[in-house]
Amino acid sequence: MRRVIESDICIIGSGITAALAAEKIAAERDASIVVVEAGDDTASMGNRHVSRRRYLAYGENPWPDDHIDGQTTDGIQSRSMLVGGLAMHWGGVTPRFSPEDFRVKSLYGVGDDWPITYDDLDPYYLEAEERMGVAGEQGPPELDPRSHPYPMPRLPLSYNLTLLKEWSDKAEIPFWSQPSAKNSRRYAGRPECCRNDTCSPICPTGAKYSPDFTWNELRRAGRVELIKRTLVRQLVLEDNSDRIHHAVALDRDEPDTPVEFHARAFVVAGGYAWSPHLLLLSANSRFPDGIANSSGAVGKYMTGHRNVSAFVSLPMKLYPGINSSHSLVSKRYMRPGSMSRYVRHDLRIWESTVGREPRLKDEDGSILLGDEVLRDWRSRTERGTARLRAYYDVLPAQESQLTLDRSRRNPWGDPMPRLQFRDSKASRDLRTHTEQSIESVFAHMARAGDGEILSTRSSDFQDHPAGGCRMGDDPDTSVCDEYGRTHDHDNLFVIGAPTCVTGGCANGTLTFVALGLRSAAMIGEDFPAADQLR
Amino acid sequence: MAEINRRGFLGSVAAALPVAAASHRALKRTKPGTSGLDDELTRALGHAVLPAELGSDGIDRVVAGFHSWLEEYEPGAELNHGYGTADIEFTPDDPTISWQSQLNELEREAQRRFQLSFVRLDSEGRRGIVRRQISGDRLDRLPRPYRARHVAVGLLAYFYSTPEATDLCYQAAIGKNNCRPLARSPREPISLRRRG
Repeated sequence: MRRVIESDICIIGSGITAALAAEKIAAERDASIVVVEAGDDTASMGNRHVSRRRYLAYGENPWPDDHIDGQTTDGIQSRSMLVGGLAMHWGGVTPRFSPEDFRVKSLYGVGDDWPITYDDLDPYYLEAEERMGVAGEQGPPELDPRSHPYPMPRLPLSYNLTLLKEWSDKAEIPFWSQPSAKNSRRYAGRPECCRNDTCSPICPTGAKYSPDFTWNELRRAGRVELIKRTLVRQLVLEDNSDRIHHAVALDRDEPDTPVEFHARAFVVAGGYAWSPHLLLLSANSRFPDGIANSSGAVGKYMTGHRNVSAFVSLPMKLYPGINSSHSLVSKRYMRPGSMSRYVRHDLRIWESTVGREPRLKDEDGSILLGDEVLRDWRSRTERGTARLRAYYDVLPAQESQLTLDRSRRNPWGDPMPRLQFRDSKASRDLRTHTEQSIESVFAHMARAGDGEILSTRSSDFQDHPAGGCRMGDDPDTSVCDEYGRTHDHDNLFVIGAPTCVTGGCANGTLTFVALGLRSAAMIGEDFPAADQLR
Repeated sequence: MAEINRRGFLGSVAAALPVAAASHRALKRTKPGTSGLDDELTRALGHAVLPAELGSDGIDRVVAGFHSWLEEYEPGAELNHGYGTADIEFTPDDPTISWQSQLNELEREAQRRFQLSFVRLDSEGRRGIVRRQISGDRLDRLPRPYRARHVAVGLLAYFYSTPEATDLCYQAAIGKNNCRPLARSPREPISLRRRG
């Protein structure tokens, strides 16, 4: 026995890129859409205040059904297998990449260029900002190019950030309000942010955008069928062509009855890990190294960005918790102009409590109790702490890769992915120079504010991972074209994070979504426009 | 006297029960509506280790909040997991039994050293006993309350994680983690002294 579900478009995965791509196609095209999600549904809004309270009191996961036991990677993975994906947890921060991110080879002779430019993506950045609802401030145009204003005014700078901005002005580095998918006013039926300050992992009011809002609306309107708890395990070709015929899945509630999804177009939207994983799992006699993998690039060029951070003690009184999730951002070093040696990074400032927390032992090791704790705490709050962080781009080696680990299998026998990030040689050679450059910026800022650097840290962690199905014009070195259409299968698209050529040096989610919307426009071209039917 | 008997009873229960979640539940059921910690001893502890600036009622309120926090604690609950890790961690065992044992130990030491109940000692006397009993703990930073090895540290960790503690320290109505108008975020928080 098998169950067959038919549609025009089958989207595999229900994260933020999938949600907004589905919304766009549903609005613009006459096409039936089925979305397949391996995880469970998302907790309803009504439960979120309780979940948040328990998160604050006990540290409990507010999304306890967000993963499948045994379905894990070896390597960087944020567990997030539920309707809405990782963006159910996200902080809602939405910077764009800068034009240079797409042309590092042409401009600086390192890494690889993307097959698209910033200008190609600008309309989709804007569309992503409008669909999510982004509150932002136009930075200096030469650093922050935009064709249109943000859909909402910026989140106001808190009292703390206002003081920190005065500090950064002394350092003569332009900072402005970090754009965020949080409502600075009522937007799309969702309320204005009220500084609950637990944006990640959970916003209790809906002021922060999360993909469940889109899915709930699409389901309510009958525009998509979302099938949850169903794990797609293989893509199967048509008998006499390289088109995808159907996807084979496992219903976790009825594992003995295979489910087949038949569609005219298949959209793999499983993020940086599960998208290349599915393509590799789908190897067959005609594509023995995996579907869409005649180039051998599936699972290769995994990318992201590392960071250097510092805590700086400053002569200013800051009050913890006014709106500590919000930050200042600068793109000064994302757009450095000409330089003798390549280094690019973003720069952000937050308030911090490091060095200002209550404690039970003083410097002498004496135990503090009663009024002593409060006195000691107060004595350390006359100065404030700022957190600085710079993401710098890591240029991936080809062997920065996701592979199938046949020694680790999920409960249904599928080999699980192993992720091994590797810098290209150029990136390795630049690392010390990059990190020292960032530290010198931190030192300059500390001096400008009569501050003292409390600590500096360089992290090996590659944040906002991407790649694994990179886009390109050359089918020999890339998996898909600039729209995510795979070179090998004209009805198979990969969208969002996996298609990135490099990870840029800013949070990636908005870029992943913008890429997904650009793909959605192309996917939709095979279907009649919705307005033609009205 | 009745209170001492109750403490004695709880102490004997604590000593007799193995450290297991099911037993924790059983202990909690011996005192419906409370955390399972002796309230009088916990309040005496609170008045010794919490700041006097809270006032007597304020300290009692914090202790009551601590009882509620402990009562609602669930061992084995999945902890929030950060970005970039597939590891899933869970809340540890219910600390009630070990914390009650420590309260009993505070009482025993008070009896042994001063021939007085811990409750009858002045605050400095109580703090002296607490200091001795936590001197071997790492106290360089306050842990999550449930990870505190000693009930005194658990109570302090609980209090200092509250918005009330931050407001008290800064003498300002910050109200962290509360829903507050966005438009007010650029303003310096109102001084509690000014507000009275």
